[in-house]
Amino acid sequence: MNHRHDRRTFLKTTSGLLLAPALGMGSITARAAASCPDVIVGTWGGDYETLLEKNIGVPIIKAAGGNVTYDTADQVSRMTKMRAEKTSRRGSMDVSCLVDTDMFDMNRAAVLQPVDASMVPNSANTMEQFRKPYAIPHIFSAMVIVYNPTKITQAPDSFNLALDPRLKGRVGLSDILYTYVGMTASLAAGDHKAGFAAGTKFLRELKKNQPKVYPSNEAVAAALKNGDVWMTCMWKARALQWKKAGVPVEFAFPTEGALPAVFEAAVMKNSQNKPCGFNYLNAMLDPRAQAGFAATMGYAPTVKNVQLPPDLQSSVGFTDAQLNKFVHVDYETFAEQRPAFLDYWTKDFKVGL
Amino acid sequence: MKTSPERGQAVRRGLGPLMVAPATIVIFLVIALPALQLLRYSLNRFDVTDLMISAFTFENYEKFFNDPYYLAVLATTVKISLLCTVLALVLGFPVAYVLAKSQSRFKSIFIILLVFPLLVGNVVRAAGWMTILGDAGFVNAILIRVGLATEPVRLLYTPLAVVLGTTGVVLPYMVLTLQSVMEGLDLSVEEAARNLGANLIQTFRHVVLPMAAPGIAAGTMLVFILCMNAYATPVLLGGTGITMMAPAIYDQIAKASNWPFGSALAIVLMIVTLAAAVVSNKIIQRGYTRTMSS
Repeated sequence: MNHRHDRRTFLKTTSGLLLAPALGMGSITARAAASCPDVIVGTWGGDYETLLEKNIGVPIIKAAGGNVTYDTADQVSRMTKMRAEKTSRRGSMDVSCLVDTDMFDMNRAAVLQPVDASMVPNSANTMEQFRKPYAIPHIFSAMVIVYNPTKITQAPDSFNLALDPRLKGRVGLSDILYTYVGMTASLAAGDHKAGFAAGTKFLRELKKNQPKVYPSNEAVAAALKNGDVWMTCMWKARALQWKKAGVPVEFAFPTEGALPAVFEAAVMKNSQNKPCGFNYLNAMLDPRAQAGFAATMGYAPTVKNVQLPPDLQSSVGFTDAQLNKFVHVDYETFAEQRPAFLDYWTKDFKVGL
Repeated sequence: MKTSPERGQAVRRGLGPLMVAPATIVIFLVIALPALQLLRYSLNRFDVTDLMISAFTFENYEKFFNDPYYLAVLATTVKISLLCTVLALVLGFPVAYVLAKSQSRFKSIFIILLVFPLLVGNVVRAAGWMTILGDAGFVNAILIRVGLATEPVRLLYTPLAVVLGTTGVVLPYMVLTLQSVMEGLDLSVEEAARNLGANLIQTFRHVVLPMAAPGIAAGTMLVFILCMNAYATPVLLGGTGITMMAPAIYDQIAKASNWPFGSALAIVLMIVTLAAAVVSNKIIQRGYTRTMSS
């Protein structure tokens, strides 16, 4: 680590230490933040960035004397930048936020700094099943069955319902979630361990039932709203947002198990501010920040020491039984088979639908 | 020894290439260099872990030309682009003609109105088309209200939606290009043709059209290139009903992380677009020369 400790830095750090008790912050956070004039966080724009600023940037980092700069882009641009900067000694981001499957790819590309637990004490409170050596789990949700209760009166218990001839032309799927649809199909077919193989067979059957594929999640929501389709598979957090927005939907947890999606954050190997990056990761796991994300975005907290209001917990959270039904994603198989599955999805499944 | 005016001419002659140098450098840096980089990537080999392995292979091009799916995607892209270009020309020509001839004090307002859609992004315009063509959209509401349909007709996520949306996007470019060329024409020769007994169709065919040919060539080339590279409109309005080249490239780069094959698709698209634009320009120019000389 090449940190310069000049007189000015020393004074800034020590003055931060003096301020810490007055700010009511944990001493570790305040000390790190005070010596972190700026941390650069690569993130999505929109709600996610707004909530990062509202729940972490302002109340935790800025309150402790630090500052956050957001490098806003979609995940493809961010991943490209991470790969492109791999050989550079000075990366443009300190922290990068990605969904778990993409973060796995980035770890394989060797651009991430392993998590230093001593600098991220809140990581001790995270749910064990989501822990990774290279990233912290920020928030999570899972793929559930989303349906229109006026058309499907009995709550479904399996995605196999999509094959029911009574739902011919009434199942909608999101094109951008093609990999998750493939894995959900594998789960429904009873074999997710071999990756997309069982899912591909399931989708061949499903195609006979003429499902509709929409270009975005929003288009699926619109189709559910106007009655064009009655059922889909979607993140529970999304379904909650749709329900709030007046889309007539309910959701059900599939008995065959559900695929989790974990939004993760990691420090870049070529960050010039690794302690500040880890300080930010620690703030992301702060119970206050986690509660804020749960209330607004509908994603469940990944830390065990957060107390949500009971109604919020029941809507965004998952029961222990459901958590036990979360499947362990074999990211390596997932990544290896993804190009071939995309070929099938694009050239075969979607054609004519 | 050279006299002073001769030296001035020599200096000016030497200055000419120098003056185009800054633009050439900028074009090289922002267009040629990335295109060359793309060409290099297209010769690499895909690897799931390392994204790509440095190589010198044509296997990505072989994959494209041996795969009926991608050949069909290219054919669809060319067909849609040709259709949208012709539609834009047919719809845009009368507007450009009227604007060029107009002496109205409101002319500048008309031109601003024409430019106005360009201030709104393609995505926003596509969203507008979605509300018009959707199952619960304006068109279906009218069809059901007047009794022409009993249930919503599928208009969104069809080739029709892509053609309408793309034509809407490129129409202002066609009109502005045609109008700017027509402004420089002496349209009094049109009156001369009418005075010499030519009817409206003859005047249009033998006088207006040949004069406007350079504008038609420039407009069609510009619009065709824009159509070939369209991304947002085909994705949002075509959905899964139609696949064009730009979304196929995005799929390979963003979804499959297959940069070498995505780069090969991009190079194929560039070459086909360039070739088609040059050929159409030649045809129009040749037709124009023949018409003028006959």
